[in-house]
Amino acid sequence: MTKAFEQAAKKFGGIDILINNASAISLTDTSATSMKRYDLMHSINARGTFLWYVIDFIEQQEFFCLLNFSSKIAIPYLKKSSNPHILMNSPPISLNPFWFKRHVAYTVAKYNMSLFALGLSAELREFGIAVNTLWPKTGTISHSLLFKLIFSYN
Amino acid sequence: MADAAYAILTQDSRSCTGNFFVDESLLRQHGVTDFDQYAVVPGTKDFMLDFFLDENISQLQREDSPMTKEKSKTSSAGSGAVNVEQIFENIKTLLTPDLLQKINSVYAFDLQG
Repeated sequence: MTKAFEQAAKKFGGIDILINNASAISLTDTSATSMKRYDLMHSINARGTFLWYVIDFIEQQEFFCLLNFSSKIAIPYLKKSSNPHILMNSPPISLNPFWFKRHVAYTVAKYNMSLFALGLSAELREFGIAVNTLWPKTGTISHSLLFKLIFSYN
Repeated sequence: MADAAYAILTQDSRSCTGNFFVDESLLRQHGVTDFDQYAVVPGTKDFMLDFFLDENISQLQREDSPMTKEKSKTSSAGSGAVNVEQIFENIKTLLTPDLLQKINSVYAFDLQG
């Protein structure tokens, strides 16, 4: 992974933007959530945001994700950029129980990404590195199909 | 989402940090008024609302969540195998070459039980 960053920085002359886009989802309640799924969601959403976990994910092939670069490895490169940004594909944090009651494991895993954004934005402010989150108001077709499928199974 | 991400990433990183953005409100702040341009099917109004936005709760509750309905419908029906087949049949009716191109992904479904 460190090599991938090295090569990207060499090819493009640096790294300006890191997008943490990967996610794993299982919309199941606590009884129906196996520890394997729990670990996968936390590995992709939290650990993946902090470091990198896609290789393990590919071995498990359980759900879906896009490439997830890590904040930790990227920081030295971002510090050299003139306008460095980290962007998480994660939601604003609402503590309304509505968002927890049906799938607390997913919500906690997903909120981890947003909490990291909050923490990293403070930690990296002195280096001029921006850390923000972006979340869609509406779902996408692939999301929507998957949500329906996952709900149907459970 | 891409336009919203662009709007964020082109801001000065020293001043624009620590924000939780939502695509639509961010784009509105940037003067976008035509959101029909983002609809896969132009004219669509009944979008599936995403999770975690309190502004979406009332509508999700009012609809009693289509996902929940599907869940109860499925679990109250007969054998699981029939339901799974039905689900994939339903998907087949939705899939078109255009849609496949737009999704541009392969999903593997590992069915157990």
